[in-house]
Amino acid sequence: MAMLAEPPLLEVRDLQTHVFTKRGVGKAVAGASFSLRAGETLGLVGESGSGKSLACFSVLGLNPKPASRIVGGQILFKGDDLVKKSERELRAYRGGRIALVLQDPMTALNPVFTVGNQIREAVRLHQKLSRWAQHRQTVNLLERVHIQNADTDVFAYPHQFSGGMRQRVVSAIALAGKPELLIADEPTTALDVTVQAAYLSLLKEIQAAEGLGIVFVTHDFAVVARICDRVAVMYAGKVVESTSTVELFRAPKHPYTEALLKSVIDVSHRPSRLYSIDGNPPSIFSATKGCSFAPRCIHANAKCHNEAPPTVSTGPRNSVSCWRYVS
Amino acid sequence: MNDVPILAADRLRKQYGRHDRERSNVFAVDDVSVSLFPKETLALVGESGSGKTTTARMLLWLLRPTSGSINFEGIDLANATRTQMRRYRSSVQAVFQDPSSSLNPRMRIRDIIAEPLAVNGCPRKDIESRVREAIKDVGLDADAIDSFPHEFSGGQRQRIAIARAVVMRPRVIVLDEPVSALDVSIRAQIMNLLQDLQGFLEVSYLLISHDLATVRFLATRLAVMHQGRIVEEGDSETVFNHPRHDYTQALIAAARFVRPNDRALQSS
Repeated sequence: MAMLAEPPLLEVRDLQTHVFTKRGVGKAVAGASFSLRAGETLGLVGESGSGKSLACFSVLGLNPKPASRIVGGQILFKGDDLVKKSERELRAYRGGRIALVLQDPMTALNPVFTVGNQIREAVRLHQKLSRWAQHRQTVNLLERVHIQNADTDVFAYPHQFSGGMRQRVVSAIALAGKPELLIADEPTTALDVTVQAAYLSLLKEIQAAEGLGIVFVTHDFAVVARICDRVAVMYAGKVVESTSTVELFRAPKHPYTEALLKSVIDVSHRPSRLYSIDGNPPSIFSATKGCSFAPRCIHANAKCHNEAPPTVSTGPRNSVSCWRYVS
Repeated sequence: MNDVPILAADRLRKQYGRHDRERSNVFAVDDVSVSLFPKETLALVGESGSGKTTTARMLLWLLRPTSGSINFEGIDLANATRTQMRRYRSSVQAVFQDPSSSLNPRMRIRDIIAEPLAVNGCPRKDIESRVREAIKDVGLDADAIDSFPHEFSGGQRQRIAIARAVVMRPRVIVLDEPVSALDVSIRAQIMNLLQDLQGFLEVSYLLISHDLATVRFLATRLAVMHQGRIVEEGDSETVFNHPRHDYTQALIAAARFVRPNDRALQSS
């Protein structure tokens, strides 16, 4: 069992990030656990408000402050707990060892600087190079994300680029620090479908070349199927199921996962009626006694409403939080 | 099929540009003709920049075409009388993408839904009962009537926007990306609702969407737009199963849901 000796690239254990507002304390991330090995892509799937983005920002200590705070849990990056690191220590990780790509490339890029300028800034911050070498490196990064005419496009402004090209520029910036982990928060949501496919295969290609670990936040199962090796499904601030992508589609365990998959529409045939989950996700401010999915779950019984389910192991790396799997 | 279209666009073109300069030769919408027949759902499909929303806005008469005409029940809107325009305005309603920006945050649900009735001269004594009926139609609780939009979730807000459209008992509802801003589990609820409403209100939908899954479920007919033009048009089943234009094929291929098991099979 030599594989077990190597610590995972990222391991988040029972992470709790709470938000503090006038309405009280909101448990936005309420004990989330997931892990990722080098070269792997983990899909963090959930609806808006499930805490998936906040969990990712917490990894880099970029959760909004003072509105939110990590109140418990561990974030182990190659065995080092990032929660305990000081702001100064974290700066070495941000962009360097762990990079972040956000949803909307138009807001991530500064409209008054050329794309070359913005990539070079990242190059300069992470590597000591001469000006000329910085420029060469910038052009090289643009080429790696398949921007044609990188030599001239390095002088272009973001508005001169299409949405897909902008997102590739953002990825080039992310790669500038030679990261080991890439956190991508819904990077394809703002892109058109045909562009989406091209962007995903670019990510795959970069991952294969660099051995990057990727945490891919999304709510789209079509994207999960295309890019992820493993999936962590989040609901109400917790990971309710962790499994491999193949297993997820073959036999989803948690009723929420199952319901979500059933509501996906496949364009190859037309259903007469869509499967839908009744009700709404719970508010992060409401105190839940039992399982947070119980009010919407078709299998729920009295126990589900009263006691929170434990996390049950269903395979070497798979787990589910549901009473149905407690024997 | 029903041969008389309710709403029809004939050779629509739209050119954006400044009046004080020479206009470019780029048309946001270029020579688009579409007809919407009773009780059908026609989807305008395309990626961003394809001109689908511009076409929809012209059909809603929110935007004047550079050339071409819009006909409602056979009347050219450019030459319509005031009475005819009133009839058009009350018969053609719209639901937009983002309910948090399409609903006035300072109005109560009652007033939001009553507004189109009041504007169109509905007798005051009937307003309350029609608002309540619309709220019931879209599956909202009756006590929602005195609340404000912020008290609802995204899905509920979209129901309010739909209630405002159906309260007029329109003949046409233009749905501009009606579920794009909603979560997966809520999306299905709203799409089922739209399908049910069409059944009992006998309304035609003009659906604007870039999401083929939405289109697959709701549309009976499809017009695929690319760079301002309609590149393929046809019955939904036919277009999805036998797309003819290269662009349509690419679009459908990109949207196809590939299960990882299938992928493993394909590559082996």
